[in-house]
Amino acid sequence: MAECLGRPVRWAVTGELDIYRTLERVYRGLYLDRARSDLLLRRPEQSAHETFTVGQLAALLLGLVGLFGAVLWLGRPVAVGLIVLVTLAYGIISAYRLYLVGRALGSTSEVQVTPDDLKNLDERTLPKYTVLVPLYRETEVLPALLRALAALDYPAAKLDIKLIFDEDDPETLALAQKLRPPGHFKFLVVPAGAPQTKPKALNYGLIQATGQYCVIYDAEDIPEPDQLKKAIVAFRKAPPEVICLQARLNFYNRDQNILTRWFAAEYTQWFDLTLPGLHATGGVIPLGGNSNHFVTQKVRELGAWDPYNVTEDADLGVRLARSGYRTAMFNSTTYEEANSHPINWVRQRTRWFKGWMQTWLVHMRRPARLCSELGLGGFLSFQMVIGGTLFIALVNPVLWALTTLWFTANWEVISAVFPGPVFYLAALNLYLGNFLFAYLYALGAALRGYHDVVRYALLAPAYWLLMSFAAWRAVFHLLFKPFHWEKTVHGLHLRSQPSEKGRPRV
Amino acid sequence: MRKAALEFSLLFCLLIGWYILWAGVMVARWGLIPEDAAARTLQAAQVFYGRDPKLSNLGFVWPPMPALLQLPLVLLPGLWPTGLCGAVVSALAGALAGALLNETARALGWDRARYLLVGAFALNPAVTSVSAGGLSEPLLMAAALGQVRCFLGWAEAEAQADRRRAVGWLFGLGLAGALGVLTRYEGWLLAAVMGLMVVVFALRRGNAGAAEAAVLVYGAPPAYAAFVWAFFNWLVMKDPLYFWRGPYATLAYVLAEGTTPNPIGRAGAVLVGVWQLSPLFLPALVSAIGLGLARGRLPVLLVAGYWLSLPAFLAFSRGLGQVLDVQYRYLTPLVPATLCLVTLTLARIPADWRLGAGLALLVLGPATGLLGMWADPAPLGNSLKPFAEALLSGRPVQAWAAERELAAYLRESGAGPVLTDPAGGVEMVVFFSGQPARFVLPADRDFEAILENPVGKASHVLVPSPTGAGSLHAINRAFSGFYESGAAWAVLEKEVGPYRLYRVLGPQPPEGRVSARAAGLPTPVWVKPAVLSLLGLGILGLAIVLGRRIGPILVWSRPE
Repeated sequence: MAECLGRPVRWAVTGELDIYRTLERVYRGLYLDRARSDLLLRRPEQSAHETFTVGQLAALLLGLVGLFGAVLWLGRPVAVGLIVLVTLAYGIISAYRLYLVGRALGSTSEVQVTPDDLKNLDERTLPKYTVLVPLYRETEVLPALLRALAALDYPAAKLDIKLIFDEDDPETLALAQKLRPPGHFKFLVVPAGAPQTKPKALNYGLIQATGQYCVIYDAEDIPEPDQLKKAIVAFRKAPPEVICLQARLNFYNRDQNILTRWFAAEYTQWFDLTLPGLHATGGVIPLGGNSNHFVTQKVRELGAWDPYNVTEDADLGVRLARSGYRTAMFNSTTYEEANSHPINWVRQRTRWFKGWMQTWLVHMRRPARLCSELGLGGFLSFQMVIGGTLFIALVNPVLWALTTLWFTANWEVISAVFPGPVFYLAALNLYLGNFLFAYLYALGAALRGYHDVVRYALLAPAYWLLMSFAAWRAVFHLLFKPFHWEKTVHGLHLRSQPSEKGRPRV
Repeated sequence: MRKAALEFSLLFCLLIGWYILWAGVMVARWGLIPEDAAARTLQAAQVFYGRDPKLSNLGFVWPPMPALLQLPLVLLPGLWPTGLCGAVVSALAGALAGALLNETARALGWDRARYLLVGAFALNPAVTSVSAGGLSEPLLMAAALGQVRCFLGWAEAEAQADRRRAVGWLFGLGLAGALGVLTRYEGWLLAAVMGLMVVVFALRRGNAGAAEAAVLVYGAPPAYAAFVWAFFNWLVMKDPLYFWRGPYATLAYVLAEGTTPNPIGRAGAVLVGVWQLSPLFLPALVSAIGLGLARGRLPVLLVAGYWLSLPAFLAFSRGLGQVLDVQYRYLTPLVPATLCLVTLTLARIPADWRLGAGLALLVLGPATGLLGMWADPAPLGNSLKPFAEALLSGRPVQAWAAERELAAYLRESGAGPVLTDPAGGVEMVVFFSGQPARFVLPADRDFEAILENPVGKASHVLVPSPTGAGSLHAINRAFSGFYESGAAWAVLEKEVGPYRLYRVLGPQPPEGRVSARAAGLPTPVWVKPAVLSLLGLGILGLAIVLGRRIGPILVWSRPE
C-alpha cells in the first residue's frame, strides 16, 4: 500500500462502526453534495430545481393571455368552450378511475406472498436489506418506531437500518441515543443545508447503504413484521423489470375522529383499489411516501430521489417507469398515523399536492419524449392519475360554486355557459361522478374490513372541500415557496388517545 | 373462466337475435306495438324531436331508465316511429336476463341441462312478448336476476371469508338494485327486500358492524338512485313525490277510474293471475322454501322470499287500491323467478334428474305461458293476449286503427301546433304521427300559457273521450264539456274513434307549419335494413365486450 500510495502507511485495528463513522466524518461534505446534486447533475431535465422551464412559463403566459383575450373578444362561445373542455375532462377522469377500480376488483393484480412462501424461505439465502428512516423532530413517535423496527422479522446480521437525522435537530438524535437501539441500527447525521427535505436525507442515507435491497419508512410507521421477507419473495416472483415494490399503507388511528376515518377511507381506496388497478392495467404507479422497496443498485442508477421535489416518491415512480422499469404492489401493509388535526392535515396535503404539481411539471417538460418513454397507455395514465387528481381538486370548488349559485340565485349567465348537452354532461358528473367517488371510498373501507369507516366514507364530499382548499394553497406555495417542506407534526394521536406505553394500536 | 365468458357472450348474442327477430314480426308483420312501449319511445323521441326539446321531456311519472336507454337509438333516422327502439332495449334486457339465468345455474353446478332452462325462458311466449315488444319488464327481470346472482355470490364469498370477492359482489348487487329502482317501481320493493336479505344474512354470519357496512355498501347505489329521482322530481316539477301524486301518476288514475270496495277480491285477482300465467311458480316457491328450511340453507330461503315479495307486493298494493290496473304482464318476471327457484332447489340432485326437470320445464313452461296469455285473468288487464292471438292465428292484429288514422290525417292536413296531452291514449296518435313537434304537450314550457288561451297559439285541439283515463287529459280537466260541445273558439273538424279534433278559430298561430325535420321527410327504403344491420353489428360487439368483462366477474365461483 505504501508503494502504491507513495507515502508511509500506519496500520490500526478498529471496528466496522468506527470505519463507518470515520468515512462519514471525512466525506460528509461530499455525501451532502451528492445527496442534493446527483440527479441535478446527471439528469437536470428531471430535477424539480426549476419549477417552470422557460418554455413552460411562456406557454402558460401565452395561454392565459390568449384565453383572456378570447373571452374579451368572443365572449360566450369561449366560455362555453372552456366549460365543455372542463366537463369532458372531468367525465373522462372519473370514468378512468372507475375503470381502474373495476380492474382491481376483477383480478388479483398484486404479487401474492402466501404463508407457505414465507415458511419455505431459507433465511440463509436472504440478502442484506437497508432500511432508510429519515427523522426530523420526531421525539413523540421515535420510541414506537424503534420498537416496530426492532420487531422486523429479518436476521439482524443482514439488516442495515439507517436512522437519518438532521444536524439542526439535536433533540431527536439525543433521544435516539438515549433509547440505545440494537447494534444494527446506525445513526447518520445530515449536515445542515438547503434544500432541507426528506429526499435529500434519503439520498444521503442511500450513498452509504450496503443492502441489495432498500426500503423507506417514515417516523410514524409500523410495518407488518414480515414485510421485508414478503418483499424478498415478491421480488423473486416478479418479472425482472420490477425493481420496486409498493406495500399498502393504512392507519392505526383511523377511529380517532372523523378526519382520520375519511383519511383511512381515502388511503384504502387509493392503495387497495386505485394502485392495484394501475398495476393491473400497466399504468404508471406514483409511489406512496414510504414502504417502497427497491433494488438498491437500480435506484442509484436512476439518480435516486429528487431533493427538490416535495413528493420525491411520486416522482421516482414516474422516473422508473420512464426508464422501462415497473412497480408492483404486494400484499403487505404498513400502518402509520393519520393526521387528526385539520390544520396539520391541510399542511401535509398542501405539500402532497405541491409535489404532484412539481412532478407533473417536471415530466411534462418534453411531452413527446415522455409519451415515447412511457408508451401511449402509460402517458395517458400519468395524465389521468397525476394530472387528473390535481385537476379535479382544483376545479371542484369552482364547479360547486357555480352549482350553488345556479340553485340559489339562478343566474342566467350560468345557464348561458351551460347549454343543453353540456349541462347534461355536467349534471352527470355532478350527480353520478361525485356519488361514485364517495362510493369508492366506502368500497375501499369495506374491503379492509373497516366497518365503522364505511358510513363516514359516504360523507366524503365534505372531506373533498378540505382537499380542494389544500390544492389551491399548493398552487400558491408552488409559485412562491416551491421547495419549502411543511413539516407534518406526528404523535397527535398520542396526545388525544394515549395507548398503553405509547404504543399505537394497529 | 374464459369458457364461461365466451358462453355468456354467445348466449347473450343468440337471445338478442331471437328477440329482435320477434320484434320484427310483432312490428312489421302484426302491427303490434304495446301502448306503454310506444309511450316510452315517444318520451325519448321528444327529448330531441319535441317542440321544446330537452331531457326533462322524459317525464317524471315512470322511472326513466327504459326511456333513457333509448336516447341514442331515437337519433337513428326513421327508427323510432317504427317501434323498434324500445324493442332493441327490451331485447338487450331480455337477453341479459337469459344469460344471467344461465350463469346462475352454471355457478350452482348445473351442467348442460341449464341450457334447457334458458330455452324454457326464451321460448316462453310471455317473456318473448315483453322482450320483443319494447316493454320495461325485461329490464326489471335482468336487474332482479342480477341481484339474485350477486347475492348468491356474496353469500358464498362471505362463507369463505373472502372479503375481496364479497365486496365485489356487493358492488354488483348495488348496481343491479339501482338499475331496478330506475326501471320500475317494483324495483324499489325488490331493492328494499334485498337490503333486508343482506342484513339478515350478514347478522347471522358476523357482527352488527359488519352487517351495517354490508347494507351500506349494497344499499348506497339504489338508495341514491331513488334520491336522485325524487330530487329531479322536486327540481323540475317542484314536488319530490310528483311521480306518486302528480296529475298523471298512478294515484290519479286510481281516483279517475275508481275501485270496487273489495280489497280481498282485488288482491286475490293478482294471485289468480300468478296461477294462470306462471302456474309452476307456486310449486317452485314451496319447494325452495321447504328445501331451505329442511337443510338450513339460508340463501335459498332468502331468495325464495325475494321472489315472493313481488306478487305479494302487487297483490297487497292492488288490494289497497294503490295500483289501478295490475296488468297481467306485470307478473311476467315470475317466469324467470320460477326458473331461478328451480335452479336453486335442484342444484344438488343427480344430473339425470336435472336433465329431466329441464326437459319438463322446456315443454311445460312455454305451454303454460301460452295458455296463460290466452286466459282471461279478469279483472286484470291482459295486454299479453294480442301476442298470443297473433301467434296462434298468424294474422296481423291491426291494433290502434283509430290512432293511426288520426295521425295520418294530421300529417296530411299539415295541422299544427295541435294542443293536446298524451293521456287517455292520445300518446299513440302522437307516436304514429312521427312528428311530436307538431303537438303542444304538457312537457313544453309554454303549454300552460297556450292552454289558458289557445286562440292565436294553436291551430287545433285534440281531446279523447273524458271517461276513465281520458278524464285526466289536460283539455278535459281545463275545459269541462269541451269534448262534447267544443267552445266558442273551437269547432269540430274530425272525429275518429274516441278522439275529437277541434279547429281553433281566429288568427293562425305564428308558428305555422312545423319544421321540416319534425314533418319527417320520407324515409328511404334502405334506411331501416341498414340501420338494423349496423345495430346488429354494434350489439354483437357489445355482447362480446360485455361477455369478456362481465363474464369473468360473474363466474368467480359457485355460490351455495
